[in-house]
Amino acid sequence: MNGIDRFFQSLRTASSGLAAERVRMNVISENLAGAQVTSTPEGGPYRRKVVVFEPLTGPNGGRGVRAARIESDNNSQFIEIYEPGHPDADENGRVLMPNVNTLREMADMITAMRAYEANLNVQEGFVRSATRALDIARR
Amino acid sequence: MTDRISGSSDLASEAFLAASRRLSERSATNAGSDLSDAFRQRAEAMLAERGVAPTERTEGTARSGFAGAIEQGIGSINAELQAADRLPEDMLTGAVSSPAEIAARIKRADLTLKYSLEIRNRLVDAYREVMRMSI
Amino acid sequence: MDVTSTAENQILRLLQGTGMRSRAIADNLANQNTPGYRRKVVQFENLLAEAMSTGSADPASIVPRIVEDFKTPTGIDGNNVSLELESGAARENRVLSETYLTLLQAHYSRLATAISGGR
Repeated sequence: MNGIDRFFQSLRTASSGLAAERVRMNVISENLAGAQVTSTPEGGPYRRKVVVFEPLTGPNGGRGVRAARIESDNNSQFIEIYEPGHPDADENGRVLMPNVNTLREMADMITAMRAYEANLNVQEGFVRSATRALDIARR
Repeated sequence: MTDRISGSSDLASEAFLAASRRLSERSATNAGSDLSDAFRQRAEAMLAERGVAPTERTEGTARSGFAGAIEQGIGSINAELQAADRLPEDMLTGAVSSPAEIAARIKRADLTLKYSLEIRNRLVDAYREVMRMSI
Repeated sequence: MDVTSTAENQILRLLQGTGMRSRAIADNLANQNTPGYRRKVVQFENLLAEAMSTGSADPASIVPRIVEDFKTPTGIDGNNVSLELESGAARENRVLSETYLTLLQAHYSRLATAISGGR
């Protein structure tokens, strides 16, 4: 890590947060879009995806976060509903729906957006603070 | 006074050296470049004209007291000014890593230069004052 | 002919503390949704105050310290960053560093005035 990296450490930490939350928001959007998809190319309904966040570390301590990987949510089951008229209904009229809870995805989206905004504020705060400190040298 | 500016770290030391050079040029009895010697010898010459014996002083303290202080002063002035000159390099190596540190170094160099120029001005004023005292 | 001073150095040390703290807060806010993440805090002003009031240590020897906060309870995902509290901490730190910067600036002003002799 050269000196300029150290200089901007908190700014870049915030940037990492923005990037990670952006990935999360994209995945949530995909989940919302797939919430009603009962038949996918791989077969079966759309399976919810989740993002795994991991902290970043460095010689000067924490350096933010990264979206390490996107995984399928295999912990929750597809939801079975009864709708005989549905194109993907079985002989008993049952349809397997994606394991996406729309309300929960919306809540997660709001959480991600608030985090995004908080990281933006850190970036702006850094610039203001650096400008103020350098002002001293200008007088 | 020198009109060559080669870098802020040289300016202050040149200011001092030029002042002392001028003094040694003007002083008839002194071939050296020491400010304090020039002053002392001028003062003693004045006293001798009036038939007053100069007071005893311990050998060596006057030189180390005043000229020595000037030499030390030039050293610390250069150190501050060089620290400011080194800023871009220090930013890249990480020796300074915050805007506050940068501002502090710049400010210190500024004030150091101001300080040394003010002292030079006063020394030159004092020299002129002494020279004006006619014998 | 030395323009550095203990007063100036004290303020610069305090500014090192707020710099370190702003990095820790940035890390906390970036990791506010990371499972298992524990928020970090920087201790400096409290350590200085303690050293000064109890005389247990020389304040000049105290350095800022990053510690993980194991006291604040975590949520289900093991994360104990609260956006509201962290934003509050960020603003506090901002005002603190502005104050220190103002002190530093005033110090240099006074020095300049002293050097020019008020002329």
